[in-house]
Amino acid sequence: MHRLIAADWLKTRRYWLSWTLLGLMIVILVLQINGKIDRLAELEAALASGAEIEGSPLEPQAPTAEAGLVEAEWLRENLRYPAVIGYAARLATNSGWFFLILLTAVMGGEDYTRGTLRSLLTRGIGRGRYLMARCLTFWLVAGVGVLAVTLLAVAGGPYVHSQATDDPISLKGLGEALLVPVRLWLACLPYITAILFLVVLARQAGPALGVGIGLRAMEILSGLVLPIMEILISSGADVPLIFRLETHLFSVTIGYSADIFLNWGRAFTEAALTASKIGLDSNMPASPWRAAAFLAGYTILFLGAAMWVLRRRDVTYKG
Amino acid sequence: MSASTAVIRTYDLTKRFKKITAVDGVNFTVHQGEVFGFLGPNGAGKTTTIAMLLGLVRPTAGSAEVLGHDIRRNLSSALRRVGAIVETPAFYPYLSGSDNLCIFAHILGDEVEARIPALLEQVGLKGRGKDKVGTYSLGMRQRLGLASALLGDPELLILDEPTNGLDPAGMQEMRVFLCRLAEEEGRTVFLSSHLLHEVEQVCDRVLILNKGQVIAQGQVGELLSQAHGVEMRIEGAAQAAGILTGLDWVQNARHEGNRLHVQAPPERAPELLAALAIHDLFPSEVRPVVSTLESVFLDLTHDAEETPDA
Repeated sequence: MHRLIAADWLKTRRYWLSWTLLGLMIVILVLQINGKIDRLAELEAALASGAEIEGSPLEPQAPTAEAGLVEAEWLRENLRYPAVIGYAARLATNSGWFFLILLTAVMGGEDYTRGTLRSLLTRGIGRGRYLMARCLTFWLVAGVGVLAVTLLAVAGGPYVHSQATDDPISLKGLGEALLVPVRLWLACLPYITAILFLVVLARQAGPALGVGIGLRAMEILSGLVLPIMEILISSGADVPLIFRLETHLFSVTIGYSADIFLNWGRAFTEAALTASKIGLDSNMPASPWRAAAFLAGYTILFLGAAMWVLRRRDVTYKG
Repeated sequence: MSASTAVIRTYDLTKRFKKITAVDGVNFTVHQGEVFGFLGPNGAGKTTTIAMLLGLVRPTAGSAEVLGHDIRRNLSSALRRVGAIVETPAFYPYLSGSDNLCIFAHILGDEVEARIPALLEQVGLKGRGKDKVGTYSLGMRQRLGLASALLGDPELLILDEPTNGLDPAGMQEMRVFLCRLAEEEGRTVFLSSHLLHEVEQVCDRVLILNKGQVIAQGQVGELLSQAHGVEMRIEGAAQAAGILTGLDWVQNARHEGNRLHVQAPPERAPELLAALAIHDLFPSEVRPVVSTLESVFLDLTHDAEETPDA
């Protein structure tokens, strides 16, 4: 197995897409953190001068000073060192999940599209071992991405801290902050196995990429339904069945489970907080153990399904 | 191995894709150290048979043994002693030739990697090993494919159209190379090719497949001698055919108008003429017919076309 992983690793290292996506993810992350620093400065300035606070485009009216204060405190807590390490890891998922899906689909599908699957399988590698090696290699690649984000946050964290607060840096909470990248790495597995399953099913990268990106986009859109509901439905009012079903569906997605898992030990994720405001707490369970079980379940389910499909199918011509 | 020299043995090997029978009860044996030609027109089932032998495609019925291992049960250990090119060799274009071989070497074992420079030299890619495969011509990819097949020092080479894309000099080199692999290094070569002239020069035995069925197999010399003959233009061709068929060393004599084709060794043409002269039959024209594998192949596949149930 280690030989197969070494071979896969050699390929991934030499493929331009891996490095391009890693670079893009880092750039996006830096821009996101910079945006958060700017937002904090904007809030502080507005609160100090008593000016109106600018809200998100979805909000019908500007946030109150109290809401601005809460948001500023929340940002300060996350940008403080070492909490910023965990925050950076969570922020990296915004682009990271898409890039992981893209890389897994393209590199996972290339053995089908280029015809190299034949050459590999005729070396006496079992199909199960081939798939496990691919899965572990992508997980290793994801680990490199997580490590890069963590190192960046560790190195750049003190600067971000100095922009967010005048308090001296303390290492309190370092252990918890460092656990977030580890959780992030674990949360990559269900995405990797899901995309590998789609690749094996479609026998090419294109459809797997399309479906993978589509599903991730649906996760995001499902998440966006909550703030819309928050605006439309006052607390305690009856929530239409369709929205209840939609939130149920959202709560079993990989994205929601990963979000809860990454926020282990924190009171609420953004989605769960919004759900509680409109009385849908029961639809959006925020238990990290449940989330971990879902992520493990998806990993096993998709890996098993991919293995089953690969084992029973003929490998003919390019596929 | 069950029979000491059997490297590949198939037993009624069959593959059906829904309603299409691609390979239909194929039986053959490939012996150790021989170069075995696997021939057939497009769509005859050659690649499907090879894919079954390499575990890429599962047989619908029948079975086969490769290096003594049943392909349905324990093929992985056999495949470690097999080198193969199936259709066009496939590589990662963003890696160099050398790195592509490294990928396969990693899989086969650490010691294999040391063989890469020598193999690149052997297949004539010494100076291009560091170049990306994306810049290679088809012929160069074929050479790299052969190097990749030889990486694990295999006992059996299964090559599907290895001369595709090679120029005449490259084909000549490949021919010599394959002969050397069999004769000097004792490897068994299972060669599927459309280039019958190549096969005739390289192979010890051949099998001809058409519409998934074996229509001929045997020593190349045997197949050719069966097709050698004498052609005559003669009045009374029907009577002449009857007379010559009566000779025990004449395999067949058939006529069409005043043309007579006698299946017999061309060097015995004088004896044929003497036999006819006894009956006052004198051909106006006599010429020996020396067959090539190509003409045998075309005759056999054409005959099979004419008798669809064959």
